[in-house]
Amino acid sequence: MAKQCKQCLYNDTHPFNLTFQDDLCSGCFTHNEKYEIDWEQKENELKELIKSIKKTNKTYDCIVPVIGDAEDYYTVSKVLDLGLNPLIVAVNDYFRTDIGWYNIHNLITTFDVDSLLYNPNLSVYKELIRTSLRKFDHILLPFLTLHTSFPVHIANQRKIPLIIWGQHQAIEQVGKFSHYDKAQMTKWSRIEHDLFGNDLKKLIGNGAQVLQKDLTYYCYPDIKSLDKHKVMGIYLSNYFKWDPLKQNHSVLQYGFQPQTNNSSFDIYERAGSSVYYQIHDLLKYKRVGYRKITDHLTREIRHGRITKQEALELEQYYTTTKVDIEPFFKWLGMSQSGIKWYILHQFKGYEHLIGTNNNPATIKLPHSIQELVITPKSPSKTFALFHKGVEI
Amino acid sequence: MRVGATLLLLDGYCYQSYNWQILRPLGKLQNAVDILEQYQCDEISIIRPIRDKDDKTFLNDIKTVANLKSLTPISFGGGLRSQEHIDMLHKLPIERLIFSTPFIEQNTQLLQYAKNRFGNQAIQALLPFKELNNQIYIFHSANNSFIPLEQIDISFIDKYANEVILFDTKHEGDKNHFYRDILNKIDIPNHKIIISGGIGKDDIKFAQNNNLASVAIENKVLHTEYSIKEYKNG
Repeated sequence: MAKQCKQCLYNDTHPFNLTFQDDLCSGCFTHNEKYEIDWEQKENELKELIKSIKKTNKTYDCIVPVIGDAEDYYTVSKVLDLGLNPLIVAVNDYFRTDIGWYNIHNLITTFDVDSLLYNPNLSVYKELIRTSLRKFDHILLPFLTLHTSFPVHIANQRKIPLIIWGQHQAIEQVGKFSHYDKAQMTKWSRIEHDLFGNDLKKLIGNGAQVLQKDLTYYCYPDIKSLDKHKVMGIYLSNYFKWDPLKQNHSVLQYGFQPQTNNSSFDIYERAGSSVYYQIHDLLKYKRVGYRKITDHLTREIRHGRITKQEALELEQYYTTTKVDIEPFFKWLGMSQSGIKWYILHQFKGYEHLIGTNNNPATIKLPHSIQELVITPKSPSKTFALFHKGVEI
Repeated sequence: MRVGATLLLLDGYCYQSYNWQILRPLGKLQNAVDILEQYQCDEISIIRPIRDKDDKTFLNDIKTVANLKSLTPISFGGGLRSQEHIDMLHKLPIERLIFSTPFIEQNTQLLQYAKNRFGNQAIQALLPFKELNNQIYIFHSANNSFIPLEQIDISFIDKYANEVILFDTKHEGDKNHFYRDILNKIDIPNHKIIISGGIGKDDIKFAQNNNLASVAIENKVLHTEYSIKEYKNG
């Protein structure tokens, strides 16, 4: 029988693995560090690091990789507060809604920062998604592979010494490291955490019909070269007390637009995606046995905004909401009969969760969460491949 | 002097240990070994943190190690308490064996058997220790407790072990906090000593200056890119 954390919703079947101390999971006991850490001292450590970089650097001080959701707004605002001159780097995942495109352009214009958007070869990208879906029940691996390597390539090519990420998910979710470790982004952590143990070789294997020459930016740069150019990837959540829901609510002041979400109360994280809370959420459920809502509720339990009992009720509600998977398969170029076949064979036992669900959630949220959630907008266009100057 | 790394393996999965008290999940053994090779790590010690007699995961860990692909020399230990265990390891890509309890309990028969099977150079003794009020205590894994250093026959360890890993349990997971005074308190020649637990750049310089055999960096080795080079260049 799975060992359950006495505080949160996770148990020891979590895909990132968990350890326990007095029946408290590593995610929870690591979260508790946040209340002991001298965050002012941590911020000063970061300022010292920045000072040493600014002393020698003549180009951009750092790269901030973004997808354009609320956390990116918060990260960019912190980076600017620290006096850094960032280059914003984004990879087109081709899954953005009109809201997603609006948010990324608004981020660049509101903060008045330079940016670079990479549009990967669409046919190669789609072939990798087909392979990833077939092999790992995962559609975001090709994007995550690029999102975690392309910014590092740019930093390396342009000799930009620092890459600043927002939260270290493996610390925030499961406590893989202590905040005191100040764990940095590495080739190893990218494979182990960001890509769930699957590097490009495993992704392609002998399944994907792609050419090596098309995969340059999917491969992580040579670490000797990164070392030569002194490129370092850090996570802001190691230096600031990270509270995503509160932070994400705070970025509404910059014009960030939340998106409706029938799979969670969180309208900020990955807002602007056509798939994250749709087919991706269903595949996650199939792969690991729970949906994104469980991560969100665990986070809120730890931040003291919801009790475990309240969380269990919300988990039950959101875990049974329907997801619309058809638009994704149409985007991928699958025929109607192909979609039917896929549902019949690959989503056996999950058919009840497939369908359209346009009704807003009716379940009541605890006040401490409700006060951080506003009425979001619904996208009028999904799977918008390219978009500029979006008005919403 | 060699600069190596320590990985903790339990039930097919790697962990990080902090101050001998807290375990954190780390990841797959192969992924960690792959990157340590790229970091040009001189050796990798895979230690199973077995802290009592009840060891149900030995076979699973043997399977994990059997599937390991590595060009870096591997030391393996933790819960090696029978000749049957030694036989199982003989076919695996393991260069050295790490023993703890057999040295504390003076299990001559097992150590001699291991020597015969793997060679003298392959035998390492692991002495996890803590310093308390200027007294040294050694962890006795099979009993899951610390015992005073005086209860241990160091000359026996010196005789049977080719190298001795002095592992600072109190500072495990920290940086530059290895309890260096231990070298003055245990009578083992420096050239046979490997230090681990709280290793930082300063400790590596200390080890070089004192002609130690090796250092084994634990958690910190995977916290920054290309860490070993940084440590080696100190």
